[in-house]
Amino acid sequence: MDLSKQTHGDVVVITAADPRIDAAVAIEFKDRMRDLTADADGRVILDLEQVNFIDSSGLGAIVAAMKQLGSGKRLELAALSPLVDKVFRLTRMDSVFVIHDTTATGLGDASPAE
Amino acid sequence: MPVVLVEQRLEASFESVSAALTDLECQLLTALPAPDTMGSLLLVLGEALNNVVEHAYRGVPGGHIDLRLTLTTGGLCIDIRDRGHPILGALPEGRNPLQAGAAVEDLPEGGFGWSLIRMLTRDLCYESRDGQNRLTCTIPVDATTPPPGPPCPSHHRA
Repeated sequence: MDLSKQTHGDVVVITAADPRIDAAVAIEFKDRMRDLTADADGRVILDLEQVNFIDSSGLGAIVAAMKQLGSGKRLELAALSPLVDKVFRLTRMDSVFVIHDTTATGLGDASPAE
Repeated sequence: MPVVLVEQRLEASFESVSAALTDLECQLLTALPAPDTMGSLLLVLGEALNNVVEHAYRGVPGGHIDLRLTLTTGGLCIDIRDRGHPILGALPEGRNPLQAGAAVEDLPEGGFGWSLIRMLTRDLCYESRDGQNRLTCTIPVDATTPPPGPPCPSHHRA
């Protein structure tokens, strides 16, 4: 599961570079997300632009990744492909996550850390 | 006339299901009438096949799943057979869609598989007979869309 992390000010952006978050990688995704967000104090945006498929296990892993942030913090998602968006809408999970059209939109005026 | 689009046997593992869906997406790229049918097909197959891996075979390797997809005027018919443990009693309903305003810590991390299958298909049937379990369902296809072209032959699996 290819996940990379960038910091923009106090916002952590995790980019998923695999085309699928499904049952085959759900546990690995959840564990990697825990490692990458362990020290995140501010907002966390998960960029899903390169992901074109998730199943219910992948959705569960994304929910678990949000719970791991602790203190009721909401994970933010960016750049949902049509099928990923469909899964979030059908399960109404789109009402739970903060969803941005792109990571750039989600970052707003937060500038990259130097 | 019904057209058999896919007839294949796959190993019962999450990895094998994942690879099979990736192959099917290419193989059926020009065979399905509307892009939305592809999305629904991939979602339904993912849930149904992974259910077999997880619950019928209970994660034990060595099992296999037979998959057949047929395009008819009524829609895209899915037929999935396995020889694992049967589902006893009625098929699960799956979790209801969330209510808005749920607290993060109360969110479910699973249980959406059957509800996705039910939302995207009709004529959902299941039977277990002589050691074989068989799940069938149909993804409705808009009858006004043009007829399908041939599937891409280079990705046919033995």
